[in-house]
Amino acid sequence: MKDILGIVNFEDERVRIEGLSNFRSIPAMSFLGRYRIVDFVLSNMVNSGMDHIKVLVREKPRSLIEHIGIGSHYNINSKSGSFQILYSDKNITNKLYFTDINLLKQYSSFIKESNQEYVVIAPSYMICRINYQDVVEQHIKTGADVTAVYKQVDDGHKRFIGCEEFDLINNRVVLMKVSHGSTSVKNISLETYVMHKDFLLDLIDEATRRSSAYTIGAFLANDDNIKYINIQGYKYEGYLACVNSLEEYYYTNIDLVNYEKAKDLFDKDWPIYTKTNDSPPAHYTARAEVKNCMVANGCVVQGKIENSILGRAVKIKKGAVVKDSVILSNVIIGEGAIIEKAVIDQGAKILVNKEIAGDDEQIGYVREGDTV
Amino acid sequence: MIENCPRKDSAHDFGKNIIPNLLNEGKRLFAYPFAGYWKDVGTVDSLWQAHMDLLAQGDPLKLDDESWKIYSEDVPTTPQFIGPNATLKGSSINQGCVVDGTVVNSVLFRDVVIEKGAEVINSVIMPESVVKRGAKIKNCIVGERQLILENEVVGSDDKIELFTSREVN
Repeated sequence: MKDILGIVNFEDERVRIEGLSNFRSIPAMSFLGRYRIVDFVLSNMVNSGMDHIKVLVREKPRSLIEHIGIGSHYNINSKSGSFQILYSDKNITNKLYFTDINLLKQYSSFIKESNQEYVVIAPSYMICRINYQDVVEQHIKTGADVTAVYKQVDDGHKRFIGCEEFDLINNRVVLMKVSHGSTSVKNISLETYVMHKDFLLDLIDEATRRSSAYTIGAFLANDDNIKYINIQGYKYEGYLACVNSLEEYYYTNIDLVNYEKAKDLFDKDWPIYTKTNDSPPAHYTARAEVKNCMVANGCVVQGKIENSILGRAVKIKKGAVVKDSVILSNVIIGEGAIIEKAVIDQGAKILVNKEIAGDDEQIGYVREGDTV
Repeated sequence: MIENCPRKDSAHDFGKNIIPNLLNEGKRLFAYPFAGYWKDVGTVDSLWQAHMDLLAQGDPLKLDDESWKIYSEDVPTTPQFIGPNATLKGSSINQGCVVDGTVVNSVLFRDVVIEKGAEVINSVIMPESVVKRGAKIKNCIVGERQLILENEVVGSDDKIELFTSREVN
């Protein structure tokens, strides 16, 4: 098993979850009731035997730092391992220059001094279950400059819009471009790259010399660079979702309510770690009606819930109906209220008999802490 | 206590020996009346009853109180899945459970599986136990990591039963 340095990358400008990201960064968003988005990439790294992890933070660090802390709940060995949160201490006013490369440049001495030969860079919003050891093994075998992980999907016409897709010739990536959903079968990039530490350091130097606006992805995708950088594809075949918009956030949550589908993501031997908070078990009263739901601890359900996800400590009052919805933690759905096809953000209160319904065009959304 | 320790005729019990001795010696003892919920859960019946009290009395221990949390083991389980065929009434269900059967007036600990068509009534099921299709459980405490077979019937109306005879392998 190789000793690998893990870097959790932040999302670039293309990734924006309407509403939700006004309050917190994407890695800190709650997901499937009991998790945050960042739990999946961190658990993948830890389960791949990685004990040295750096998390790049773009903005709004408060809720992310509160959640990941010093990494102890991800089982990162606090003595032999290391866990760092890297954020910019420069005041960058132009968002264009807020790139992963500029941030890594600031901390390049940390990378230089690390004892790990190989680096895995992966974003939080690609939800998957992947063993990075396998990727590094292929990387060493092929002698590539960069190994880029992709999945061949068959629903590319409606999902993964705005993600990057690859063209491959003999497994070498020859084109990286943004997917606009034109065809269904395509190679979607997990934006997960393996490279030698020295290659990353050279890449950071070279990219910053040429433009301050380069991201790692954009630098690799550049028409000239892709010709001389040997980027090999690593084919990933497991579960993949890209949470890069409110729609994708909603549909990914709702899809995983299906236990058979969720089994692709969850495995007893591949635990997804999260910050736990000792809440009591979910309680269902005598009048509760529950079908097809994922429910976190601390919830009290007195009404009817169907095909939905409840975050921690959600209260569904008598006569309330929640259908096809994602309810984040500490929300109260008042007596007789009806919620359909909506995302209700943390701590919102839905008053008695209120109706909130989205449709296929527009998912309903209620802001954090709002009372409606 | 130290005085009581070497005495062969003592059961070394606060209620039976130490406090009566203090009273005999004329020491000043005062009572503190406690009004909240309490139960000695030293037997199968009383442990079962405490769970039923919790369900019937609407959280008498105020487990929901953020300012007085009950800290416990909190392992990385999967989320709790309630399937399309589930019926849940008056029950408390912990994280990691997968429920597609009927659970009435019962408590499920973490990672319990209740398959389609199984029924759990007035019972307590400890962590990681699996109740297969069509099984019926009534008035029971099922121990940790136990397997209830398809269509198996466990428990009766007459008494509280403890099931610990078949481990999940």
